Amino acid sequence: MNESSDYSLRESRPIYGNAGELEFPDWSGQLPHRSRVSNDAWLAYCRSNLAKIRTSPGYAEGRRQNGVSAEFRL
Amino acid sequence: MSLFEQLNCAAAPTRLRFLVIGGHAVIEHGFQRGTEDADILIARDDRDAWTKIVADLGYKLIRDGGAFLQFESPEPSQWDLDLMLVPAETFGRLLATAKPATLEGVAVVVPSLEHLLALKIHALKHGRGLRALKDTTDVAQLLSVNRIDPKSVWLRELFEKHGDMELYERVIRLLP
Repeated sequence: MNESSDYSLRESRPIYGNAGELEFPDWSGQLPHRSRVSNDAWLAYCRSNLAKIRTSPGYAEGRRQNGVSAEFRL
Repeated sequence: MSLFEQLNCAAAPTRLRFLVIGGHAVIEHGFQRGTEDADILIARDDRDAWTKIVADLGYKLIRDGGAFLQFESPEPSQWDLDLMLVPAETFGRLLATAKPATLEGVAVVVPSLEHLLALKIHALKHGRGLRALKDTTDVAQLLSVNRIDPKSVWLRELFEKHGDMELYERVIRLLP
């Protein structure tokens, strides 16, 4: 994660009470609790990777599959 | 300047409204996953006004899918942008229960959790390709992180209305 970004997303406080100085990285929602990384820090991290992601093979093709043609109604 | 700030500024004079949906809304509702673009939902009647706003910001239309428009950012480090178009009545209902949020330091609104789930279930039913994997994960994680009882009557009804019960079973199987 840190190889592609200047942003550190390590938890700001330990998950477990007795874990001392241990800090655990956030694995993108895979923790069994809400992330302690702020949403803004997370979005800044995502944005910092945009330029690199766009050069990935298949990015443009994948993005074209994102749209949903059927109209949504409530 | 944040994309959302640019959109707010551009929309203010004409009082156009938008809701932030997609990955940003999923993150706001508690599931912090990666996102590569910004998605906003607008009233279909405002399509031309929004298309002009987005074009004036330098965005290039790359796909017109009728109920959605995809734009490419002029800046490599700025979000690409997708616009989802809905009837005015639907837009009003979504806006009426929308949740205020602050994204990248900018005040926006996102759909309520129930409506975001409805949008995701709709995408699950009508989406193509690999996005089904992402939408399935989003629904399951939103239910999990918000401690929603998967057997809730309202949730089953949401799947019946916007998806189907096969999708419901597929999502429920992912939950503990």
